[in-house]
Amino acid sequence: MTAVLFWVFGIGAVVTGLLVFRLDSMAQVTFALLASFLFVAGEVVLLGLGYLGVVIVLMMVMVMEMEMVIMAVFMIMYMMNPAGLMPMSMFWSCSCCSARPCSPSGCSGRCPSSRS
Amino acid sequence: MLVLPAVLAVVTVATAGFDGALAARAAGRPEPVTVPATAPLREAARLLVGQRRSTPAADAVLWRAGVVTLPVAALLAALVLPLGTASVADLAVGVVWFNAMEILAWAAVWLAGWGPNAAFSLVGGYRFVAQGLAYELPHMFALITAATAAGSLRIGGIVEAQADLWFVVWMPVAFVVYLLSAVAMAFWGPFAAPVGRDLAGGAAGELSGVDRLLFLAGRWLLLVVAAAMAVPLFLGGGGGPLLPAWLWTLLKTAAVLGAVVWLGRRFPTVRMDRFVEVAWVVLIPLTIVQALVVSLVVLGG
Repeated sequence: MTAVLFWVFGIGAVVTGLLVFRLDSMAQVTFALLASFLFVAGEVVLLGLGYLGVVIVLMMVMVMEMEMVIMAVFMIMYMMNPAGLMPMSMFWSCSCCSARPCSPSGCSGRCPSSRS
Repeated sequence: MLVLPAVLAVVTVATAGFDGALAARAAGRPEPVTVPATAPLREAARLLVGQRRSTPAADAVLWRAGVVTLPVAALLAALVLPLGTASVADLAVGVVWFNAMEILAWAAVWLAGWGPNAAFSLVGGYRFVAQGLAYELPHMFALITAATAAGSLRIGGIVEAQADLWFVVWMPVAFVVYLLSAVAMAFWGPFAAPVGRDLAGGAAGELSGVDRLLFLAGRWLLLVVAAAMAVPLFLGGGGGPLLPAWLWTLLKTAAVLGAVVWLGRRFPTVRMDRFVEVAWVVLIPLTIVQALVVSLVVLGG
């Protein structure tokens, strides 16, 4: 049982840790990182350090997650493309929208080709 | 193990029904008490057959995860909740476990607000983050005070330490702050701004069908579990004359919940920024002084 849990937590921590670099949504990345930490907390509990493990759960959810959730507000305020949240083109001319004919009002929409 | 969900479900439905009955009386609707009292069950049946809403460009994974996390967090927190003298798991770090599980509600509400890609939902989710930053530190100091007096993080140990004198008698500030933060944690009553009417439902605004059922049931469950934890922490757990311990636990829990629901309906919704100020300027110093007094008593005794 302990061995099974060890491997489940271990592989879970590594996979969700890798997902942090593969997902393109800031929110999903945040919670993938949280999941990774929670798996590590499970390993710590398996080591017999109950207090430390539960405190890792508490502190990671409270301090780290909420810090990142609040940080997201500032990222959206100041960053052009916060982790793919708002895919957009930096060019406001018709030439960026080859897939769409120009309208009299110009090409004000997003580039369909910039991101699927 | 199987008793806990059943008891929690009954108590939760009863609490929601009591709240509905109070609402009906306040609105002056001349209906028999059974109508609002059974309203939660009828609402649950209605939501179960309702269609789930989907929104454009929703983050479905995080949305569903948030909705499911809320009732799961409440249930996990309830694992250390003793009924009489028996709990599912009387962990050596019970108080920390309880706190760690209930804090998952922060993630749950924010995710439920973020998921549907809707402005009001997101504002509701962020309101709960602000509320969490306000209530959590006083809440933790209240928990620490009870654990300090007992010299134990085990819920059973805290109950045993109150065999002679309930903690509520010599730490009333911690008790009141605990109940206040329990209501804030369940974003209910005066602290319902994250799902407020001014936000068209806020974090729960885009939820329908079974999602809405899970989220709102999880919220009531959180209120019940948090209020019920006041009994072992401050009200002597199952201690009392004549009656068996489990019955005393239920009676005290019903009394606490009744008082919380009745009082909660007396107050208007609190604005987050004002509550943050009160929490940090008034509640945190109060709870620190309370913890200091209790620590000195423990050291001196």
